[in-house]
This record gives sequence, structure tokens and C-alpha cells, in this order.
Amino acid sequence: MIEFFRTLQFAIENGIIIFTIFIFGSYAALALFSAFSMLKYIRTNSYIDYRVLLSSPLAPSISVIAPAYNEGKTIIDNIRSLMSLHYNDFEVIIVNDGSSDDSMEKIIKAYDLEIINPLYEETIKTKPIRGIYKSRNKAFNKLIVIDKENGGKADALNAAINFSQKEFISVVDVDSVLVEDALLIMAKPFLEETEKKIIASGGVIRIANSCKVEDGRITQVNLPKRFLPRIQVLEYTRAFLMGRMAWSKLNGLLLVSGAFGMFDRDIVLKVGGYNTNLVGEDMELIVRMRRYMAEQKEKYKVIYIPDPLCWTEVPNNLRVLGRQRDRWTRGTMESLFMHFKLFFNPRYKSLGLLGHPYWFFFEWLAPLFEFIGIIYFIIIAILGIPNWPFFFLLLGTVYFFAVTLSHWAILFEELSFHRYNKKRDVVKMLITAMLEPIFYHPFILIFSIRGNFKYFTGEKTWGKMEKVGFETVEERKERKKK
Amino acid sequence: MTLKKTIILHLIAASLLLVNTPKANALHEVISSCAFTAFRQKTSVLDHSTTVLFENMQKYGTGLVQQVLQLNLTNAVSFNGTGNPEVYEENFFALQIFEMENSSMSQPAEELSLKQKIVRYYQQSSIKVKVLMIVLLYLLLSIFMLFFLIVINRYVKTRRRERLALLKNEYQEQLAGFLFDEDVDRIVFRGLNSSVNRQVLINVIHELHTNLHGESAGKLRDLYFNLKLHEDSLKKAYHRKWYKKAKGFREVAQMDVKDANKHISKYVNAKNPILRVDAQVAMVKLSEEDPLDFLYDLKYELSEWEQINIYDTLIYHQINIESFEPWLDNRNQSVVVFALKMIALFKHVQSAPRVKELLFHGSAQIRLTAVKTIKALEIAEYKADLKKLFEVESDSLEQIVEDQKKNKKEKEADNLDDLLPRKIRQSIVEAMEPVADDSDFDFLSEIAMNKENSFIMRVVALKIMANITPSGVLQLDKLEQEAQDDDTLKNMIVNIKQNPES
Repeated sequence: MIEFFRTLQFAIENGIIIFTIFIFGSYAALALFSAFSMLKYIRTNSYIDYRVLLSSPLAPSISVIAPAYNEGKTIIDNIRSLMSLHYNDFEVIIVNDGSSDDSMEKIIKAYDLEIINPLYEETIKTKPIRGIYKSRNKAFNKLIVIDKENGGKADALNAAINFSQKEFISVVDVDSVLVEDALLIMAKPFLEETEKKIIASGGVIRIANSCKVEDGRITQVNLPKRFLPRIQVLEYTRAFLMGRMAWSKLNGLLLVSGAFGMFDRDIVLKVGGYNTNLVGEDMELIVRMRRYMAEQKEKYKVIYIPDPLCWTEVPNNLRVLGRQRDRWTRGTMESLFMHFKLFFNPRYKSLGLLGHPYWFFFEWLAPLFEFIGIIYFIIIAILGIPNWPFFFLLLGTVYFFAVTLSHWAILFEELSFHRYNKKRDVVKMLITAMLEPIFYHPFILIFSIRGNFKYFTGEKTWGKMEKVGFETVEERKERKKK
Repeated sequence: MTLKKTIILHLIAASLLLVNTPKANALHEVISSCAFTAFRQKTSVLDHSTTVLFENMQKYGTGLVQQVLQLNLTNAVSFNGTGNPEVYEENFFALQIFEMENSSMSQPAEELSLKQKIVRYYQQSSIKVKVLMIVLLYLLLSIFMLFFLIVINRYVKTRRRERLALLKNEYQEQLAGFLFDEDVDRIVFRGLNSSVNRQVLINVIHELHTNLHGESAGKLRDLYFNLKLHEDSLKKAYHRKWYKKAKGFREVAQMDVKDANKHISKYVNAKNPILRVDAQVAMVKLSEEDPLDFLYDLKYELSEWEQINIYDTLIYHQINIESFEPWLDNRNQSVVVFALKMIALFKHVQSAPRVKELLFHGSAQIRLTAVKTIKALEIAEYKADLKKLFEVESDSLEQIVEDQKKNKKEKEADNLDDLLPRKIRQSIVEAMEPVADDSDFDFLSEIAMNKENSFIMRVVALKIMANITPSGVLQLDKLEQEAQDDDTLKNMIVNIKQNPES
């Protein structure tokens, strides 16, 4: 019996160490890849003149699709912001997904909409459409509003994809703020590639909490004042500038953020649009598109743009953050298990041999291993047999590795886009990097475990995302008066 | 580049860690500790570390001492890499440390200092713990180094950015005065002995020149030459680094510096696509005789981005190309597509007969572009050819769809083969719009009534019919009566009659 427990102890301890080495190694390798691709990207795009695309009749057409559910507080400004994007041939399709607030009334009034009965085909089945609107005012002729019964984000996106006749579709969270040149920058890679078909491109998502927003544009970038969003700045910087940049280089990107992405409409239609039965529909669509292209033996690529093109609000409190993160976990699991055929399957090349296994081991299993490690340690601590110096050594290594990685991410940001340019910002970021593993990571672990639990118990809710909304100039003046 | 150097530094340290020999561990510690110094002094990390290693030998514990003891004089000399006979003395010194440290092993733990305790723990530990300790040390040093890099970089960059912004502002004001104030004959720019400042001035002139035409642009160009800034641009054009070269190409193209034409022409077929597009644009702008000459020998596919840039250069600099027909025979299909697009955009109606020939080209992409070009040229005589092509494409689509149905039975997804034939058919129907008349009713109503056709194609056919005056609406009524069980068609017709313009 004692022998059995010793063997078990040996297996667990060594298993955790080997897994840790692999995960550290992969992070370090990704950071390295990212650094080189970032360098190349900056050199390549530092002096690109997007004016040529803006005025060109040869530029591809784009439908910007933004689903909205109960966004009444901000919808008018959001639409204005989307319509003022710099691009030649584009339309903005807002899908009111059966909002129970006054969103629709507000839009009709603000943009002088009238119902039209356009002829279009329901290629992808969706919930019934109540009406399709266009403005009587020619200044808003790029705007189309689809009012439909509630069916969730994926269903709303499918309704807009059915209606769109443009070459590319750009999916945007309606409350995100895009920079004016976002479409130009996002469309360019689709035009550059000749050997492979670009099926999708994703942009970096930046955090807009505490930023100054005027007329739907970010006019001043501020590091979030509150601790929780500030930590997420660091987290997003790490994920986008270090992780996805490398995955793009390796052609292993499995996810284009739902907040802002661009897709080849033909391929989206070929694979049947978004899956409406999932909570992680954005990741699943990319996996399905990639799988389709690989099965058709077509050369393809999913690319990633590191420019800060899209700014969005992130959860301000742990309750909302928890909902978001357990949903992300469930979304990851859905895509991984639904497409388990890809796992180490050489037929799918980088997708099967790199992307899928990486997400399986290091995105899905890593928190579970961490959780098992903690439980194991608690047991041996109760039994009074832990090797304390070794424990502290291991804990210190893990902690300092996390901090080192965050420091690298800050350095990347400093050397590339340098958006947080106040003197104290960098010090705040460095301090946040020190605190993150202690005060933030444990919660993320709990949320991830909860997501696993919900997945296996079959819960499929999205969870409500509460947004504070951006502070307008008037609101700021009002607040200062008070 | 700071980032590159930092990465290389870490790579050296990390690779030594992986070796995990005592010498490597010791070397790693040295590298880590002197990494920042080496970086600051811009010296090679390895050169620096071997010197420091011998200078600070007592720091590295028994691991290295044992290693040194095992080395004979020759090895030690080669390890040092300098051939210095003092190395022998170092060996002797190392032996003394070894004895001293061994004696500490017999001391009780309470009497040891923290450093000795750590050393003893390290010596008595398993390889697993030793690795962890080294990694931890490495991470601590990394954080320390990164922290300083970030802070120093921010300080240096902020100052540099502020200084350059001020300088740019100053140059902009001076240039505005030079261009628009008639009293200013001579102009003196501050700090032009620095290449950084000269680049700022080049950027400002380049930016201004892009937005100016005529006399002002000429004045700016003269100034650029008088200040010998073109030499800076040429230097860049000949630089070995691709991104500098590309920037140089842009500058010489914008400022019309023709001295490097021969050199730039070599890069229109460069492997690097960024360099290639800049070289192509420069050639379009700078070539005196045939701006698109390079298209004859293009080795790579002309990307859409390249096409957009070439078209923009033609438009922006009002470069007139008499005919694009010479490129319609090109073996590079992307060049043919580009030529077709240009014929459409510049409305070269005289090239229509050659375009018509391409309607039945072997490449579907060329056929599609040829149809779109015919539509843009609005030539009614080619309707019969378009209808004939429609039939050909329909036959080929029918075959593809048949194959897809067979595959579906084997649970395989539809392939992409049908996309282009569908697009060509759709474009043919759309091409009928500006030229359709009463004689096309049969063709259009057949399309509208065929349930196999795409929804959008049927709608377009009906709309074209509705807009043929005066009999279009009557034809729709007739079709509505014939529709019988086709509710979709009936709905389409009702809708189009209500909103013929929508």
C-alpha cells in the first residue's frame, strides 16, 4: 500500500513538473515567435499609405455587422461611430436581436428609418425577421437595420450574413470603439496574399475602461483606474501581442475575437455560418472554416493584425468577470470537443498538429492540472509530509515566470504601439504585473473550473455583461461639478 | 534594436541553462549578471562573460571548481580563450576554494550564514531542485533586466519623441513660410548635420509634396535637391536592409529622383512582396518611356494590393497609358486580370474586341473579369457572346453540382469549385443591365423562372426586365401568371413591381 502511494506521489509530482516545463517552454517559444513577427509587421507597415485603398475602386466591399441586444443607452453613438469609419465601399448592418428595451425606437427616431421590403435569401436559417429598415436621409445610406426576434448573438449574425452581398463581412461588438482606419488596415492583408486564401483576420482588442471617448472615438487613452480592468490590460497585452501574433505566424490561430474580425463571406456561407447552439460561436466558426479549407485541400491562412484597432470595455467587477470567463472556458471546450477529429491529425497540418493540441493541453487542461496540483498539495500538507523548501522553490519559479512574461508583454507594448504614454503608466503596469499572480490568477482559475463544471452539467447560458458605458464630455463636466 | 538584442541575450542564457553542466550553470550566472552591463556597453555577451568568469571564480561554488580541477593547463587556457599563463594560478586558487567549501560541509547548520545554507542546500539537492534554483535565479535576473530596459526605453523614447516632434513642427513652419511667403528666398534648417534630423526633414517634405502640385511641388523638389537630401534617399535605396531599401524607393519615387531607376528595376521581381510593391510603384512613377514595362517579365502573381497601388500611381500622377491590350496576352494571368480591370476603369472602349475574345479564356478568373469589363464598357453588340458564355458556364456548373451531390451522399462538404462559375453567371446577368432591351426578355425570364438559379440572380433578372421600358412591367405581369406554383417568383415579382428601384 505504502509502495502504491509512493508511486502515486512520484507520478503526480513529476507529471506536474513535466507539464509545467512544457507550458513554460511553449509560452517562451510563443513570445519569441511573436517578437520576430511583430518586428517584421512594424517594419512592413510603419509607412503604409492607406489612402490608396480608401479611394480605390478596386478595394473589396465590406459589410460591417453589429448585433445589438438591449444596448439602448449607447446604441445611437455606437452606430454613428461605425458609420464614420474610413472606407470606400461598405455598409453597416445593425441587427436588433429582439431587444426588450427601447433600442429600436431610438434608432428609428435618430436615423429617420423606414421599413423596406428588400428581396434576399435566407441561406442560413434564423429566427423570424420583423423588418428591415433603411434611412430616408441620404447621409445615412450606408445604414441597414434588421429587427428580428431574439435568437442570440450567433443567430443575429447569421441574419446579417444572409442579407449582406459584400465580399467580406466584418463582425463587430456594437459597443466596441473602432479606430477610423480599422477596416482599411484589416482589409489589406486579404489583398496582399496570392498563394494562400485569407479566410479571416482578427484584430487586437484593447481595453477602453477609463479612456476618453468623444463622438464614438477614443480621444485619450488612459490606463484603467481600477485594479481589475488594469490587470486585464496586462492580460490582453500578453494574449494578443505575445500569443496570437505567434499563432498567426505559425498559421495556427483558432480564434478571432468576436469583438472585431473580418471574414471571407463565401467561406462563411460554405460552412453554414455561425452555430447558434453554442456559447463560443466565434471560436467554433474559425475552427470549422479552417477544417473545411483543410479538407478541401485549399491553401489558406487566418491572420492577425497587432494594431490597436478595437477598444472595448472589460468587466469592472469579479461577478461579471466570472461569467465572462466561465463562458470562455465552455466556448473553448465546445470547439475542442466538437472538432476532436483534428487532435494530432496530420491531415489538418498546423491546425491538427499544433493549434488544436495546444488549446487542448494548455488552454483547457492547464487550469485543471493546476487545480489538481493545489488539491494534492493541500492533502500532503494535512498529512504533514510536504517538502517545504521545494514547495517554495516551485511556487517562486511559477510566480516569477508569470511576472517575467508580463514584463516581456509590457516591453512589447512599449516598443511597438506605446499607447499608455503617461509617465506613471509604466510603473503602474509593472506593479500590476507583480500583483496579478497573487490577487487575480486564483479567481481566473476558479472561474475556469466553474466553466468546466457547467459544461459537463450542460448549462448553456451566455450570462449578462454589464457595461458602465463610456463617459462623454458632458458627463465628465457634470461629474466634475458634483 | 533593443528587442532583438534582449532576445538574443536571453537565448544564450537559456540555451546554456538547458545544457545544465556545472560549467554551463556557472557561465549562465555570469551571463545573467553581466548581461545588462554587456548590453549597455554594446559588447558581445560571451566575450564579456568569459573574462568576468575568471575574475570572479570564487562565486561559483564547487561545481565550477571541480570542473576547473579536471581541466589541465591546456584545456584551461583554451577555456579562457586568451592563452594567459595566469590561468594556472587560477586553478590553484580554485583548489583552495574547493577545500574551504568542503570544510563548511562538516559545520553544523546553525553556524552557517544564509549564503552558506543556500550553497549547502544546492549541493545536497537533487538535479530537479538544482534546475529549479537556477531557473529561479535566471527569472529574477530577467525581471530585473527587463524592468530597467522598460524604464530606460520609456525615458529615452519619450525624450526622443518629444525632440523629434518639436523639430518636425519647426521644419513644417519653415517650409510653410518658404512655400507661401514670397519674401523668403533662402532658408536655413537647424541641425541638418545629423542624419536623424535630415530624415525628419525628408519626411516633412515628402508629406507636403504628396499634397501639392504645380509650382509649389516643384519648389519643394528643388529644395530637396539643393539640400542634397536626395543623396540620403538614394543611400537608403541602396541599403542592404529591405525595409530601408523600400523606404528609399518610396522617397525617390515621390521626389522624382531618376538616378536609381536601373537599380530599382531589379526589385520589381523581388521575393519580398513589400519591397516588390514599392519597386513597382517607383518604376511606374519614374520610367520615362513605358511605365508598365516591368509587367511583361513579372515572375510573381500581381497581388490585388499591388494592382491597387499601381492604379493609384497612374491616377495620382496622371500617367497616361495608351492601351492595355499588350498585356492581355501575358502568360501571367494576374497581369491579364489587371489589364482588364484597367480597360474597365479607364473606359478603353477601343480594346473591347480584344476583351470579347477573353470571354472564353481557359482561366475562370479571366472570364469573370472580362465579363465585368464588358459591363463597364456597356457594349450592346456583345450580348450574344455573353448569353453564349452563360450557357457554357451553366453546363459546367451543372456538372460541378452533380459531383457535389454525389459527394454529399458520402457525407463530404461542398467544395469551392462552383463559386467562380456562379459568380460568372451572376456577372453576366448584371452585365445585361445597361444594354438590355425587348430582345432580352426570353433570356431574362428563363433565368427568373429557373428555380435552380440563385435567389439573387433571379431578382436581378426580374429587376432588369422591370426597367426595360415601356413593356417591362407587362412582361412581369405575364411572368406572374405563368409562375403558377412558384410562390418565391410571385413574391419577387410583386415586390419588384412595388419597388422597381430598390
